[in-house]
Formats: sequence, C-alpha cells, structure tokens
Amino acid sequence: MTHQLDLALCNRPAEIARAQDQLEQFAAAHHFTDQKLHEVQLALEEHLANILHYGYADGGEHQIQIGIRLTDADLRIQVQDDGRVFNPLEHPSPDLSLPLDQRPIGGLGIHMIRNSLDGLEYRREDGKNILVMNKRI
Amino acid sequence: MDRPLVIFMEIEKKITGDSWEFLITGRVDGAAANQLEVEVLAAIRAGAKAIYVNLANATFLCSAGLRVLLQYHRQMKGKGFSLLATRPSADVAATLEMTGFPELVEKKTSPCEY
Repeated sequence: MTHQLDLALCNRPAEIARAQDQLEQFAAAHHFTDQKLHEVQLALEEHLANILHYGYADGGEHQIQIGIRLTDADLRIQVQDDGRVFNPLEHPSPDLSLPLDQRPIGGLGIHMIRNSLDGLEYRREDGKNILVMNKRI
Repeated sequence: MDRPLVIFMEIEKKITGDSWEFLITGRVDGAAANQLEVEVLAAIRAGAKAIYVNLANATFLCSAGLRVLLQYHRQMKGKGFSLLATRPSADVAATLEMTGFPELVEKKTSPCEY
C-alpha cells in the first residue's frame, strides 16, 4: 500500500517551514525513526533553500510541487519547480580534506542532500526541474 | 499577504566577561541561521573574544547555519579570538561529521574548561 502527501508551496522562506511541518506529521503517522526523519528533512531543507536562493531571477511568485510517496519502507519525494535549469547531480562534491581555513563557505547543501539519501534522480521536463529523492525508512 | 516567517529556534545568551555562550534550542534552518548571524555579529561588536555555540538542544543544522559557524570562526580566528560549536546533539554531530567540520567543535566538555 502506498501512502502519499502532496504539497504546493510558494517560493517564500516561510513555506519551507510549512513543508517541514507537514513532513513531520507524515513521518509521525508512519513511524519514521528520528534519525531517518532528520536525514530526510535535511535533504528537503537544503534542496528547497537552493530553489529559493538560486532558482528565480524575476522576483515573482512561483509554485513548487512536492509529492511524497511511502510504499512499505521506501520513501520517494519528488520536488518540481519551474526555476532555472539546475541539476544538482552535476554539482561537484566539496573537498572535505582541505584544512578548515581553506574550505569554501558554499557548496555544502548539495553534499548534504547526497549524503542524507539513498538515491537521487534528476530530469528536466516541460520547463521544470524535477528532483526525486529516495530513502529507505 | 505574506505569511510571517516563524523561527523555530531559541537562543539563550550567557556572557562571562568577554566570553559569550549561545545556547541553541530547536531547528537551525535558513531563517534561524540569519538570526544566529545577527546574534554573533552583536557579540563581536560588543567585544567578545570567545564565542561558544552550544548545540546540545539543536535538533537540526542546515548548511546556512554551518556557513555562519565557519565564516565567523575564521573571522574570530583571524583576530586571535575563537568561535566554536559545543556539545552538538547526535543529529547535529552527524551533520558536522558528514560535512567534514569536526574542527569547529570545542573538545572540552564544560564551560569551566573553555
């Protein structure tokens, strides 16, 4: 059986918190462990923050669609936005071996997304970025 | 009409001379990271030489929060001062480990030892 939650957000910071609250309620209803919830929330937070910060240049209001599907222990979260083309899978990983003083301050969000999930898929379709996050709960 | 931006984080400040400790409770998401930066800047302007960001009760640390810690760690270090995270919760410790920032964490276990 598949359990689902669909959200439509506007591209405003307060909407990220609203999405996180909804995800927490979904997670509680389906008995996620605290650790798994934290990892999923971290990935979602970072991706939504990237969309808001980098996705739009027109200052206008845009919709972000989130589809959450849970089938047995497989969680799939699809995030769809109409922002600029951006494939996080093409983004290089940061060099964690650099000394603290030489570490770039940016670029951590995508690394955190990758390392919080079991799988990540991207496609561009009909002018939209579609990122699918997979996590075994 | 825009919804108000709610910050799900509280900061309690403890100041001892020029040593400041920020006790964080809740989620350090993007909005909270901005608030943390405001507090850190206020401490620096007030003459803090040691800033400790106590993350024992932080449930979440996003990359924006990490950037605040890293940016002001470097700034303080450049002046011969310090900014470090302390007592990270398990989830926050995992995030710091994942992103390769264990050096941002103070190793001493008690404020008396800072």
